[in-house]
Amino acid sequence: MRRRSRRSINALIDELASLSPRAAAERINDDPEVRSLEIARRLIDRSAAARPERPYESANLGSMALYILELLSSEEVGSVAVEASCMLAHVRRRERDLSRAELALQSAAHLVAGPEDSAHHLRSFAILRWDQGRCDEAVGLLIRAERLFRDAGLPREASTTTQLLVLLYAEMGEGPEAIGLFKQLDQAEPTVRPWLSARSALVAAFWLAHLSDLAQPEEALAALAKGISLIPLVQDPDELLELEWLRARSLGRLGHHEEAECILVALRQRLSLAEIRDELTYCLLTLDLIALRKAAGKETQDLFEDLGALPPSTPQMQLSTDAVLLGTDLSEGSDVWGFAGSMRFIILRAFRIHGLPIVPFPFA
Amino acid sequence: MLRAANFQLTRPDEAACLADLAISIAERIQDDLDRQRSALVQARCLSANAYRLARLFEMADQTCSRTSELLDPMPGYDEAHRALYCRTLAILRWDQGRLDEALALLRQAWGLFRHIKDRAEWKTCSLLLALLYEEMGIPEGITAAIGPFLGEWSELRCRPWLASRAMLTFAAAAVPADRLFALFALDEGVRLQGNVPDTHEQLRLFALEGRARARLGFFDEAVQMIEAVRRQFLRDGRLVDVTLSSLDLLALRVAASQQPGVDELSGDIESLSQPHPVSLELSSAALDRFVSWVAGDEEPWVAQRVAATWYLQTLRFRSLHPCPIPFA
Repeated sequence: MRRRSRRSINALIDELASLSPRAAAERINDDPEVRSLEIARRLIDRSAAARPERPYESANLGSMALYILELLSSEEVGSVAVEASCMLAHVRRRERDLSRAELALQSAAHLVAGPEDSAHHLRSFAILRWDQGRCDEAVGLLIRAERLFRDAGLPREASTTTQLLVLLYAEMGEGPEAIGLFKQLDQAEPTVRPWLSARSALVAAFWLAHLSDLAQPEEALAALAKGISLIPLVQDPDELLELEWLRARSLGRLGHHEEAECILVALRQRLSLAEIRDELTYCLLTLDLIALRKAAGKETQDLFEDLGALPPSTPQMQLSTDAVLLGTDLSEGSDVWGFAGSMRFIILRAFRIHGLPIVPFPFA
Repeated sequence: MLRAANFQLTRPDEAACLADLAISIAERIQDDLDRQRSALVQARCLSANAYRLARLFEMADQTCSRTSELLDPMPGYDEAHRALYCRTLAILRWDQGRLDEALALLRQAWGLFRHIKDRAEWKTCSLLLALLYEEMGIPEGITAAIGPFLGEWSELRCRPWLASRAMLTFAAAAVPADRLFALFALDEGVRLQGNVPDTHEQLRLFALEGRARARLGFFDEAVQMIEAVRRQFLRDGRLVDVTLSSLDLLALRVAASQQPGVDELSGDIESLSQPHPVSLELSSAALDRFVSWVAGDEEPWVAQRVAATWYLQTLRFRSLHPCPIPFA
C-alpha cells in the first residue's frame, strides 16, 4: 500500500468520523487504502479520546476500526488483537448482538498476556455478562479486573472498574456493597469517564440517603453534589437523560420531592415526544414517578391510568407494565423506594435474559 | 441426580445422560415451582459438569448459560444455587484455560458459600482456589485460601483427592514461610492419599508429595518418588503426566545442584507414540523452556511452575489436554 502522509490520514479519519456507520462501511469496502492497520489504530485512538464525554460517538469510531480489523489478517492485527476484541465485543453488545460479542472475547482468550490485557478482557466479559443478566458472574469478573488493573499499575482504570461495580451492586439492590465501594473511591482522582463517575456518584447518593443507618445525610449530599458537578462534562443526549433520571431519584430519596418530580415529568414528556418511544425506559420512569409520589404521600392514580392505557408492543412489555401497576399497588405502606428498585431489577433482568430490546450500557 | 453425581468421574457419558434425565423429570414438577427450579439448577449443574468431564466444553457452556436464567440474584436470595453455579462454571473455565475468569468465578462462589455459612462447600472452594492459585503462580493466595482451615481439618468432610492435593500443594508452597506448617500439611496430605480410589490420581499425588518433600530438603526420598511415578506414567504412555513429572524431576535436580539430564528426559518423551505429533513437540518445548529459564537464573521451582503452566495452557487452548479437572 502506498504510504499516506499524516495530513491525508487525518483527513481520512475526519471524513470517516463524519459518516454514518453504514456510509463508513461502504467507504471502507470501496477503498483498499482505508483498510489498513494504521487507520484502524488511529480510529481506536480517536474512539478512546471521545470516550470520556461522547460514549456513543466513541463506540461508532471503535466500530469502524473493528470493521477494518476484521478485514485484515490475524498476523497484521497482531498486538492490538486483545484490545480490538474487547472493543468489538462492546460494539456488538451495543448492537444487541450478544452472541457475537461473546465470540469476539472468546477468540482472544488465548492471546491475553499480562495483567493489563487480562483486566481489560475480564472487564469486557463482565459487562457482557451484565447485559445478559448474569449478575453474579459480572460481579466476580469486575472484582478480579479491578485487582488486575491495580497490579498493572493502572489506578484510574481500577477506579473505573470500581465505579462499574457500584452501579452493578446498586442495580442488584446490594446497597451496602455499593456504598462501601463508593466510599473507597478516591474522589480527588481525575475521572477517566465523567459520565460513569457521575452515574456512580448519583447512584451512591440515592443509596446513602436510603440506608441512613450506614451514612450521614451530609455524605449523601456530597455524593449528589459530586454527581451534579460532573454532568456538564457529558454531551451525549441519551447519557444526559440517564444522569438527570438518577439525579431525580437521589433528590427524591433525599426528600426534595418537588424538584425530583419536575425532572421526572420533564423526562417522561421528552420520551413521549420522541419519534420512537423507548417503552421500557418510559415504563421504568413511570415506576420511579409512582414511587416518588407515594413517598410524598401524593396521588398516583393518573400515572396508573396513563401506564395502563399504553398499548405495549410486545407481550413482555405488557408483562412489565402489569408488574409495575400491580407491584406498586401492592407496595402500599412498605418501603416504596426499595420496592421500586427490586421491581426495576426484576424487569431489567427479565429483558436481558430473554434478549429483549433494552438500551445497552454505553461502556466502550 | 445422586447416581449422576456418583458416576461423574468414572463414567462421565453415563453421568451426562442421567443428569439430562434428571433435568427432564425436574421440568415436569409443576405443583411446586420453587422445588422445580431448585431441582433444575442442581440437575443442570450436574449435567454441565458431566459434559465438562467428557470434554464436551461447548455443551457444558450452553448448559451453564441456560442454568443462569433460573437463578435469582436478589440480595440474600438463592445463594446456595448461585454459588453452585459459579463454581461449576469456574471449573469449566479452568479446563478451557481461562484462568483469570475461573479465579473470578471461584472467588464469587467462595463468597456466596461463606455468606450462607456452608462451611463444607466454603472449604471445598478454598481448596480449589489454592490449586488454581498454585497454577497461576500466586503463592500468597495458596496460604490465604488454606490457612483458615488448618486447625479444623478433620472435622470437615471433603473430596479426598482435592483435600490431599491441596494439602500437598500447601506443603510445597508454605516451606519458605513456615516449615512446621509445611510438615503438618505434608503429613495430612499423605494420610489423605489413602482414600483416593483412582490409580492415576494417586500417582499424581505421589509426584506432588515428592515435590513437597524436595522443597523441604528431603532430596533422596523426593527423587525416588518422582522417578518411580515418572517411570509408571511412561509405561502407561501418559504423555502429559510424563512431561509434568519430568519438569518436577528437572527442578529437583537443579535445586539439589545435580546435572538436570534433560536429554535423557526428552528422549523418553520422544519414545512415546501420540495421535497428535504436536503434543510431543509441546512436551519437549516445555522442558526446553524450563532449561532456558533456569539458565537465565530463575529459581528452579519457579521455572518448573511457569513451564508447567505454559504447557497445560497451550494444551488447553489447542484442545489437546486429555484430563479435565477431576471435580465432581
